[in-house]
Amino acid sequence: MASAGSSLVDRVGDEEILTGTGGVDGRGARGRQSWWWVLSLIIVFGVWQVAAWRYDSDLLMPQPVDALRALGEAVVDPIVLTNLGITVRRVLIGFVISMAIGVPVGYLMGHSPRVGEVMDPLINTFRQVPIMAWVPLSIIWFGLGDGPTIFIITFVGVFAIILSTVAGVRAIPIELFHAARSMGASRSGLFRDVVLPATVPDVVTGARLALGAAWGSVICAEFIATSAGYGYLMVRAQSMMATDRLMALMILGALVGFLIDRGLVYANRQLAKWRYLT
Amino acid sequence: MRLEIRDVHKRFANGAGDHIVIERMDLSVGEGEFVTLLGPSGCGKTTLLNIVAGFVRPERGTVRVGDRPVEGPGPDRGVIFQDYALFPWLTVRGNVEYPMRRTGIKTRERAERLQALLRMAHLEGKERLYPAQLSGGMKQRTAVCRALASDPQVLLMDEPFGAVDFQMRLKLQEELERIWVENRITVLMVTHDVQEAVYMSDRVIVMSPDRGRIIDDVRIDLPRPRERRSERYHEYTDLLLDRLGEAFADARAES
Ligand SMILES: Nc1ncnc2c1ncn2[C@@H]1O[C@H](COP(=O)(O)OP(=O)(O)OP(=O)(O)O)[C@@H](O)[C@H]1O
Ligand SMILES: [Mg+2]
Repeated sequence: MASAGSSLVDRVGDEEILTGTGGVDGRGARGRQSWWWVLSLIIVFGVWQVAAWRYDSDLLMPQPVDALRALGEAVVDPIVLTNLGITVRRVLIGFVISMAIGVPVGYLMGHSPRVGEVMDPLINTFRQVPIMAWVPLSIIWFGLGDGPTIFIITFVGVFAIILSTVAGVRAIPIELFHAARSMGASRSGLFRDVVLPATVPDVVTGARLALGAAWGSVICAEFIATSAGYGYLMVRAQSMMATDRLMALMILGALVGFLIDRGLVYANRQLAKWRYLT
Repeated sequence: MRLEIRDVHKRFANGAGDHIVIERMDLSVGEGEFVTLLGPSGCGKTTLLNIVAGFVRPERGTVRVGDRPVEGPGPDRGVIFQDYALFPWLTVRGNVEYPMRRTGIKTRERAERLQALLRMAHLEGKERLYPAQLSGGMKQRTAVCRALASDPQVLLMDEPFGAVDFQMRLKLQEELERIWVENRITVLMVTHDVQEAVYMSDRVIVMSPDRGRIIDDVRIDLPRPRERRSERYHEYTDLLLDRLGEAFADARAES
């Protein structure tokens, strides 16, 4: 939605604002946004082209056309696709684990002030360790390959999911619980009838942040901890000084990240239609 | 069903110590009677209503609906909340059907009752809209339908017209009064609007911020639907305004 350079957090924020402005206004804003998109792409490629002419070196700054040709080759190259598949599989496994841990923990923390009190400092402490600082330790624990990468993906994602879920539960007005109870819901029925539907958008937002962070960190982890995967492929392109291929892989990586994010936005709109009424 | 509040006490702990909100409250609402709690802000109206609804437990005393003591929230007491508390993820239909599902009403009867309620509240054709797509007045009427859907014996309303503009307020009062005349259900309503109290109620209870003391219990002896411009209507509003003045004096004395 927003310009290519903004962080995932900003994009989530924009999304909220955009969906807030309903009707004609909302569509107008969205139309303008896609123009900004085109414009920012033109600027990026324009600067790139000028730099390529200026430096006149395929190693430092290949021509955009060369990088785009390399991109065309990469998307049909079985080696690229296999390694992309390996990385996507790791991301999905790590993501599923982080959801399986993060969502229940988030509900528990949101539901019980006691659990929240105990877990809040714990989570905030662990969250402060820069995620890549975990890589050496995770290699000691899990060896090279899937182990450390999946660990990193799970770890980086689980916090976003927990925090988003907790915030969602805590934001439910007490009246909704009262209303459900006064209409015959049992105490245990409140989870299914109120908490679950009310927090779908928050859980999906957490999932979005988690997947974005996972996609960002997995490639970095693969630079170090594996001999397969997308990050590994980029290191190889670098060691062969194939800068055009490297840039092609960067662009492809951005596209995949973008598609994953769009997929979740779509899922959110399907699961929580009521949040996106115009 | 008759509603009996006997010897109810409620206090809240705050920074300065205990704040006694309600002390020795006795109040009965007769079968099919419309009773309004009127009083300045903070005098404990919502607290009392929440005790009757079963959301808040009193330290002492009992509330009875018919001959059953209140031990928690339940579908025998329909509640209309100040901000309606509609479920935003359910449509009008989903909201109104929710209490029917919870109380195990069969699909066919559910559909029939839904239509009857929507017709009564002039909401036909709005079944598929979500609360975010409704105007303030439509939300309020949806909340009325939902509260009546489980066929409660008592209806509890906390400032049910608080969040709509003046014109809509008058219109909704008239509609709710009509619905009430059709159903003759026992009602306990909270308001701080004297006009509203006189228009809607059989009896108006004026509460004081001083421990929720009942300052006066005024029977409104006017034929329905009431004529807002009549002289006797104004006599009642003047009387209630005087009583409210006493309540405000209590508030000053207390602070
Ligand atoms: N959960 C609570 N904890 C502490 N104090 C409370 C709580 N709920 C209510 N009170 C106090 O009890 C008093 C009565 O509150 P209540 O909400 O019943 O007033 P009210 O008559 O409904 O006022 P209003 O007209 O403004 O809605 C207030 O002084 C309030 O601060
Ligand atoms: Mg109140």
